[in-house]
Amino acid sequence: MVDLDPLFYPETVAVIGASPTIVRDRAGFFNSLTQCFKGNLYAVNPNYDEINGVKCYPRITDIPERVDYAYIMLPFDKVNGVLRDCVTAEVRFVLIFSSGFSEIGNKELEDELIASIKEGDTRIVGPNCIGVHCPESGVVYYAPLMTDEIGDVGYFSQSGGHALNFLIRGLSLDIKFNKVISVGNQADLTIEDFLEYFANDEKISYICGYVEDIKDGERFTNLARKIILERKKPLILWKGGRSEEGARATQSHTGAMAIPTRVWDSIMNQLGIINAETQEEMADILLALRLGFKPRGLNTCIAVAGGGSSVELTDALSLNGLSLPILSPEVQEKIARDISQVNTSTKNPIDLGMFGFFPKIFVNSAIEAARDPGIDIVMVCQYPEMSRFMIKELWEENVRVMVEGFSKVEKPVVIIVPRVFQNNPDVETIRSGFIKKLTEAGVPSYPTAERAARAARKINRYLQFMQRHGIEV
Amino acid sequence: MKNLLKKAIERGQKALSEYESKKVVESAGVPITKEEIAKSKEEAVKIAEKIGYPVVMKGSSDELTHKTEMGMIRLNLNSKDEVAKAYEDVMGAGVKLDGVLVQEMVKGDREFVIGLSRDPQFGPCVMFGLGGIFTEVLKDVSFRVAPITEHDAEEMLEEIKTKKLLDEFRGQPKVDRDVLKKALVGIGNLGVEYDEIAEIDINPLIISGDKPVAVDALVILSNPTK
Repeated sequence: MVDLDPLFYPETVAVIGASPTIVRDRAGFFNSLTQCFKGNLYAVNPNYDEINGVKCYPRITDIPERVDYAYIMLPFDKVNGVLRDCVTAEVRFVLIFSSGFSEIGNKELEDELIASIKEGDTRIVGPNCIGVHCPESGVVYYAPLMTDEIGDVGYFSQSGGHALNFLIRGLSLDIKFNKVISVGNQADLTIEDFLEYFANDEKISYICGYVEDIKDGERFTNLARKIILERKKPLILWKGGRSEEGARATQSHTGAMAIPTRVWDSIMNQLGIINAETQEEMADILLALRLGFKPRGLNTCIAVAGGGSSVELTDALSLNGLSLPILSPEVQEKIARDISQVNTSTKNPIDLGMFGFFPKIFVNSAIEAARDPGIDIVMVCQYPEMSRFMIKELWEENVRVMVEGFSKVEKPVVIIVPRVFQNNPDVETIRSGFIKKLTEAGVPSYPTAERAARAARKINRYLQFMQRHGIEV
Repeated sequence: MKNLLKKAIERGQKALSEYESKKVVESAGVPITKEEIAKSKEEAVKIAEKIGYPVVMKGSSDELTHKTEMGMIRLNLNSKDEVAKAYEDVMGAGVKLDGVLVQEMVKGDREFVIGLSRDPQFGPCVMFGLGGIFTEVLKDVSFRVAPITEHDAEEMLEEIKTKKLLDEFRGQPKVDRDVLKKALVGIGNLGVEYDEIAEIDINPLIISGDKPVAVDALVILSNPTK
């Protein structure tokens, strides 16, 4: 196994091609490092003695100590010369940010990079990527993405853009990342190297990744088995290029060798990898897993205020693979005690009618539904938009009752919070306040029933896989 | 078996004939049709009588991968005369043949496919799906990387959209899933064991009563020494 500690926790970092001007400081990494990195930071640029208070050297070989992690941010034709300097200076890891290699057909130029590191111990991340994001060590993509809390998610991405986007998306959902790595063309270090490191990393409990292809199927397969079955870490992968046209796009993006989607999907099932089909779905699944959402089956009960909504939600859940069995007579009777029998239904879907606006009744029906042995998942739907028609204090009290109540439901519970009122900042504030409180109480929520159903189905599939292998999770 | 494959490759064959392909898949646990190669009209009749009517006759050659399109198949032959005539027709069609395969005619409404292919990154993959003329249109198939367990095989059966065809269907019994699973495991093992095999295509695998039977099979060879 490659020891990647000095890459994720470097003591010394150098940025080759650092520049004092914002425009020339490509992607702003140097600027972020000056703000967040606690170790020794150096700049390399023959035109300056210092940049923003950081000592600047003409060449990397001039830096008086050994560098753990160096960024090469230069035009592609200058990369190899500087890389050879890095090998001479015994730099441990080099990130080649520059593009213009195998991804555009310049395979020879990339082979030259590999030839340059043959003589030493230097290893390459990239080229054509943004490398490491590790808040613990202060090596971050952008200063605002720095977090104090030590995360539990390891994420690798075959795309720099997706490395950043998924990180930003995840942070907005309170998902805490421990390490993110953008792997680029994988000329030297590959996805498999990072998977192996993440597998053994005690701080990482969940691994996810964006992939376009797998270079070494056998090693990948063995690592997936180790991660999932031995280390018991869920592995969620999102593969780009699921359509024929998309597969063609991956070829020009990373030179990926297309694997038919049907084969990929089957392999994911075989290995117990959670197979996300979009970036959103990967986040949805990760969110639910981290909140301990463990549906042991797919029999779902949905409760909502309103007959039309109850039909709408039932369709969405059913069409996305969940079952909605009729509740047992005993449970129905208990739910019916709280509500009038006019314009309501207790079968499943539960239509509480106007009583759905009484949070206590709403919560009680969720708790009762969960007690039905035929039910595995309880879902309820809430429209925070309605709060616009209430006095503020009432909504706040309702939220308090619901958050407290839903966390007491004895089966996996999901709140569906549809976005009815669009693009209104006031409503968004109310929504996100509600969602944040639910998340803090350990209750996952989604804006659509489709997304809730898909996440539930994929997690259930993973749980069944683990159960079949006799592993409790 | 290694010998059969090696010799075929040495002879420059790109594929095995249907007859040889079936011997290979049979060794992996896939039930196949009763069949023999006839080199003369008389022999054809003798084989047909032994198998029992009706029979199917197919031109036999390792170069024939599209027998139907080339008019090399005669179905539903019910008598000595029909068999004799079919022999002459097929042999006289101007195609180089090493004989005519005389085969039991298996009847069943349900057709599946079992296959083996090699993914450049993951290696040998076993395939199971809906067979017959709709294979390519509906693409209702599932895959697993070999070697596979019986459990993997069970999941493969469960993953196809038309899995209900495996249950009782229009008065016909439930398909014997154990035979299917053993066949899938066996085909996967062939892929792991023999680099000489590039691909296997068993299509159709017809369900006769509750038993799957390989009615046609094709083994495509690779040359691992190249």
